[in-house]
Amino acid sequence: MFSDFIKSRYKDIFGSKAKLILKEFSKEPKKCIRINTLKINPKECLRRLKLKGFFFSRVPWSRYSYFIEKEPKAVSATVEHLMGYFFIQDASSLLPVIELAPKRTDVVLDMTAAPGGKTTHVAQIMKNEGTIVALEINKNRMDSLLSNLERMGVENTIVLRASALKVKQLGLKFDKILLDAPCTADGTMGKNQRLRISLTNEDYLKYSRKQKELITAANAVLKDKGVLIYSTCSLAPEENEEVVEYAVNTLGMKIKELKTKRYLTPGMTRFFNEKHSSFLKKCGRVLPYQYHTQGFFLAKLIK
Amino acid sequence: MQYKKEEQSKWFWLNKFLPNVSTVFKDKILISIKSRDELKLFVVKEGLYNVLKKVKKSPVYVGFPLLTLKNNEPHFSLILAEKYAKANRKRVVVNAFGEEKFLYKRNLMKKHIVSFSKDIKKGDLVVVVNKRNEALGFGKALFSSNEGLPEGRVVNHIIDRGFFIHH
Repeated sequence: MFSDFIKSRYKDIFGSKAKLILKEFSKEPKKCIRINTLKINPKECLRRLKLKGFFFSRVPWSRYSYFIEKEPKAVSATVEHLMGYFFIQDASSLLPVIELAPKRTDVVLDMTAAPGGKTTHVAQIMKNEGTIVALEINKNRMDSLLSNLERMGVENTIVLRASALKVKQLGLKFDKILLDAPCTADGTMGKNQRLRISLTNEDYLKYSRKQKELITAANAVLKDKGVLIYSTCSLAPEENEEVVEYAVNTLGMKIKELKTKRYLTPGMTRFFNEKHSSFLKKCGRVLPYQYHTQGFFLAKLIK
Repeated sequence: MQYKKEEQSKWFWLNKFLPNVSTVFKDKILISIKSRDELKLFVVKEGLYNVLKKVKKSPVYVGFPLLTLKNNEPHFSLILAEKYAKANRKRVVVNAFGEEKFLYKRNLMKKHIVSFSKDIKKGDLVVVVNKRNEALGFGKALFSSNEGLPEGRVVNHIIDRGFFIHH
């Protein structure tokens, strides 16, 4: 059940695809695990879980992540999960870290880190070397972040209780920044049923304003030629293309092609009857019906 | 909260709880973060510490946690249990049944134990591991290795990896 506002809004934005998207939102997205190569070889982890009756299929854009096709018991209750051998997350949310491609010598900023899915993924790619600075302002969410860092065996992170908007006050500059911005989360309507009826136009506008403030704050602490990955679990152009257009046109950032673009729907250059910059095609969107994931958006920007 | 770089030698007293536990943090940087009623001790690599020194704010977490000190009593972290399990000391190996029970906060009985190291004394802190040598958590021994296992309860549960989920 979706509100009339959502139905009409999706039709406006996505046209003939709106039906497919909303149909996909009527069910939960496929569960996915990212195997933690800091602790275990993916083959060994899969072998152990298969012995317990689990079936998997590989996520196309990650060689160590798998959709769960058969789950005989809650995968979160397995010893392998408690041991930190994998992280349960939506497959679409792997993309920002894959695009960030952190090196073992980088100083990386994760601006909104909890519950730690992306922070622990960055640490995995960096092989626990280099430095991650992870920010989280909310105390309850902080507990889940710390617990996941320890469970996953992360050793290269500095966690600060700080507002991402005030990141400049830390006195650091970063090689790479991950801004998985707070958003309406309308791409998660498959899981969060409340959103199907509660979202209003004001919500989209409020988050869009906040996202522009956040990307401005990120740009201020990014080194020259540094990489910023902007992502949201929203499908809304106000929270996505509009923010990227602002980063390019107002902040002077440059947009880069995504190396995972073959899995994605290109960004929109026309929405709400207005034409927008052609460079927005370089952004990427995961529409929920493509891979049975949540809806997701990302863009790669260079200072 | 304030953080401080610690002298390693100041923490060698931890060896009385777990023999040679100082080898886990030997030649590494130790950082303590103090809050109102506890102190947390972290092990940090040099590169990470060099970045930390430039940050104009105290962290809540850095590197990996070694322990939390409350009322002068150390509560060792689960990541330490993992590292210490490799040392092959003060260790109790459990079977699959024991593993399941322990991960649900249950004490261990004689029937759950597969083997144990030779240096355990009654009242010792022990690392509980499964047959794959994966650290499941910490317990308190109710037996001494030289006397063998008594009937009934042999290890009291202290903390297990289920904490990550229950927490």
